[in-house]
Amino acid sequence: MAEGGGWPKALAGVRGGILKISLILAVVYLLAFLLPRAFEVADYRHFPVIGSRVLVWSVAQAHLMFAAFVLGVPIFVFIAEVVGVFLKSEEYDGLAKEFMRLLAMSYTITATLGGILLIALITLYPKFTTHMEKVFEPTWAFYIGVIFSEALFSYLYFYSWDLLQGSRKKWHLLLGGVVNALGIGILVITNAWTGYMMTPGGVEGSDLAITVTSRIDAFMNYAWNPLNIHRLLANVCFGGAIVGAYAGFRFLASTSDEERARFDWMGYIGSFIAVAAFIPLPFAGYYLGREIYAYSQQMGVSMMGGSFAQLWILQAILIGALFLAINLYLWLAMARIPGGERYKKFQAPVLFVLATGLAVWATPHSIIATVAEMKAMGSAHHPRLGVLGVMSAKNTAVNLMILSTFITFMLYRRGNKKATGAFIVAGNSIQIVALLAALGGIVAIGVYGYFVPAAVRVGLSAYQPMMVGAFMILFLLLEVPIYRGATSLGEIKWGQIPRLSQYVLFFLAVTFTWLMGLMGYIRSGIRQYWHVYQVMKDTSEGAFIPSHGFATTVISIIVLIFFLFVSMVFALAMRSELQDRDPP
Amino acid sequence: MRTVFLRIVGFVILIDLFYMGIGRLYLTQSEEHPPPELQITVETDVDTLVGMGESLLKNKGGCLLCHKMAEVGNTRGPDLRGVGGRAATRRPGLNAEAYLIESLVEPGAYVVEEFATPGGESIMPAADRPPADLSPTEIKALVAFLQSLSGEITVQVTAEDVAATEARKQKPPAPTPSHPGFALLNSKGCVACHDVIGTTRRVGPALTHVGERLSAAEIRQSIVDPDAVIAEGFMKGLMLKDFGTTLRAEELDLLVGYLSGKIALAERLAHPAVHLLVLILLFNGGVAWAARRVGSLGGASDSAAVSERKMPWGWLGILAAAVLIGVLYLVFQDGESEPPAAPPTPTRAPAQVLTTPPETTPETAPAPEASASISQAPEPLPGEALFNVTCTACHGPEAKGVPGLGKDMTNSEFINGLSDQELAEFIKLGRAADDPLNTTGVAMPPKGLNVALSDDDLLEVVKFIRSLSE
Repeated sequence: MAEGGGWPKALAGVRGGILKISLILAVVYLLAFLLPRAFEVADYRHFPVIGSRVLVWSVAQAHLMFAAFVLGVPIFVFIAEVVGVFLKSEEYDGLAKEFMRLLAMSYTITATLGGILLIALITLYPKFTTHMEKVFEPTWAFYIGVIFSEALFSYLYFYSWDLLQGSRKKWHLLLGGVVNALGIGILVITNAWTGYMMTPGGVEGSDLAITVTSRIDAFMNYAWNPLNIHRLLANVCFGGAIVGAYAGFRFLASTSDEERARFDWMGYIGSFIAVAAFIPLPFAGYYLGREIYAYSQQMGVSMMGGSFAQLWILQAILIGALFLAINLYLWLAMARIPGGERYKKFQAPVLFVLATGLAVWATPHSIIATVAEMKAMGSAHHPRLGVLGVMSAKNTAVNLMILSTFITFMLYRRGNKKATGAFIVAGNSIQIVALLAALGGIVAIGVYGYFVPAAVRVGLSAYQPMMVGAFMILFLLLEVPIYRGATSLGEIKWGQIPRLSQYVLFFLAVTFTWLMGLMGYIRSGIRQYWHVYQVMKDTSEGAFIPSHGFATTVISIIVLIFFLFVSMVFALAMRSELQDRDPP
Repeated sequence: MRTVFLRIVGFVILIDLFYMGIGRLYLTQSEEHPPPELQITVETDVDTLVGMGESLLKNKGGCLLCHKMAEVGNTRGPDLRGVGGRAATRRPGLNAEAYLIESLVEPGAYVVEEFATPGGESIMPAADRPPADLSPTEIKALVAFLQSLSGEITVQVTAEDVAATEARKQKPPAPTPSHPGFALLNSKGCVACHDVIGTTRRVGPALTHVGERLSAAEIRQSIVDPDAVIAEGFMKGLMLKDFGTTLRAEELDLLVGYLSGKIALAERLAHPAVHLLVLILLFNGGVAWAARRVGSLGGASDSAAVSERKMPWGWLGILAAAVLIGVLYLVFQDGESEPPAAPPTPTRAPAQVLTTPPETTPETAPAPEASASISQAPEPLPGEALFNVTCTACHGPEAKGVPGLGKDMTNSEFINGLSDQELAEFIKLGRAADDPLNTTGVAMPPKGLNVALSDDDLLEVVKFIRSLSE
């Protein structure tokens, strides 16, 4: 993507992007209509070697990962641009543009994967797609229109970056707003389809003998809004992690201090975005879980206590690993902050809380044991550790881990500042008391949860994150008067961060991607033997829940394929940036 | 650069393998397959019934997700140990069997206090609805097992239970017409007299491939003025003459379009390929126009800008050709006057995809006498098929009557007052329009004009009619 050359060149870039999307969609439509006609009429068709289910699963997940990226990045690009305008900082503006550069190739890959998914569904699952067509046909043309619009405005947003500066910046910000509005439009339309499969509404009958009684109810189903919120946050989180990985790659490949400084800062911003969006994500997940339970207790119980129960242990390990990695990155990053060494003494207690929390999270309620072992224990649960395998312990652990990570981040922010105001002692005292109160409250509710019925315990789970949230807000508010007029102990030495930290950024990116794959599998799998839960049964050869080992293998392969494509994106973005800097 | 790239690739693979390893080594490994269908009849003995009930409780019913039957288990619902004994006294006025059945199909009718939600409601879904979706016989089997838990087994599977279970299975899925005109042939009763999917009809001419014999105008005339031209070998006055007024204009267009194979323009324009073409032309055209406009405003002095104003004619040409060919093929191909084959009705996938039935784990294996019947679809009752062929034209596809023609059979005192033999005789003879006992003023032809019906056929039709009012 070349720049300069004014509006003609900018529009040439836009034209090329729209042309690419048009070609991809035209080919996809042709294949989607022609391929099924080459086969006999059937409810299902078999894909050789890997089977239809694994094919659709892999393509859908890879498509979702790229879609999350292309929908999440513009959100924080826009925010970074706004920050740049308010702070009058060219650095933030340049950073936003740098992030946007990653998207051009990503759009092509996203569209291609989406096209393959469409062809696969129509060809391999014709009965299912007929059902979905009956319900959602009016949304399809609208969806394609929004895709075209999103592509158009995104390319325009990027290519007009240098042209709409100064007094014309407001128009560029408007373009950014339109890009994000359209992106959210794409998200909510597709969430309606996905949510309908889990928690259908607005239809009567079953299988293909359905009557659509309310397309609005089919669209705005139980899972729709929770998915909107959860996926919006997850997109931002995921996008931040991937750009952080890009920055890590560029840092490790840098040949000058200036480059290293630039990409160190980019990596920090990317990881900050990922963590900031990651913090509220569990609560959005609780909302989704609550709506699933409200729709069908059986589906909810299958998810948490049935076939998929053990996968939450894996999720817990992934999230625990994320928390450890985030904290490690921040502690490594403090090495480049003059004055950061003052807070080294907090590493040990924070690490203790994180490690304990991870251990609690990784502890299952029921363990694999032989009959003799179960007899010796008296049940399928460990006599002592079994109590850690239930919701009370796990909720307590995660809230403490969030609290610890927040403390680490606050210490990072305080790194090179020395407070000098009169409010230091009082402010710090209030913060310490608030921290102890939050800690005590979280633990107290966790312990109390063991002594009350399940329904009460579920209700109590909302109070723990509320305490965490209240503490965070209070802490942040108190930081302002405490550090008013603070002196600096020295500028942050960007670029002088240990190289290990960049591998941590990659660790974050891979773990977030794996987590997304795992959650996607669980969300989809809790439908069990239904294409559309309680409305359309799955009677294909793939109508069974695979073993956890098989599922994790498929997820791992999908993650590898995703990073293979992402490496292409990184390479192209790097080449584009080098071409801009040193045009031929 | 290459070294950095390879190190990163290796690191990514390592993390990936780590998580995969946890999934393969740390978690339990078992597949979960759909539970098999159980064959429960009135002859099923008690012990087998109890065994089937236990299987249903542990598998298809999913009961153990919330209830426990041992010291250790889930406590979202009441402990099932001893429930057979408690059931008799739980609700005044209900014996054990009735209470257990109510608990399964109407769980909200009585909720054990400690398991009620703050609003006093039950969290348990009805067992005879999805996702458990237990049939009447399965409900009885489950009750038998629950009664066996410290109680007396009184429940019995009746013929009505079996018939109701069969009726649930025999609900056919809707056909998947490729054209809404085919759906109209069904809903307007044309299929009662005309052959459209290769079955035998004797009342009206076959409509398969009618587009090859008649033009669209002739087909339209046959619908609105059926006596204008009578096909050789068929009688005048048999087809209803009011389709011209009872059908909406668009319904008539759809029927004619479907039968003649000519797709109406409005329908062509609603094709998704046309939507895509419009969007492609709109966006590409719009951007191209903007690019040329901006280029012309910028002047010709900037050589770089001028070179960038060149349209990618090659790409556009390829794009336009691909889209045009595709749209021409998809939109302007003739429609089908012959509908697709009716989709298969088995509860498992058809032979093209599935060649072996799903596996069962030892826990899900059915009780010894039970046989899982998964891969074969049940045959429709002969009476229903004969009824569809003969009677629906006047009495409607669901026998609920057609205004001005036949009466509602599902709620008829006249039908309920006749024995099977009397009703069969009545159908055999029919009733003239001027018969004093005729209440509609419309003649019912003998055997509904289906002269091929034998006495046995008539009794089968009667049997089906009886089932409609149960």
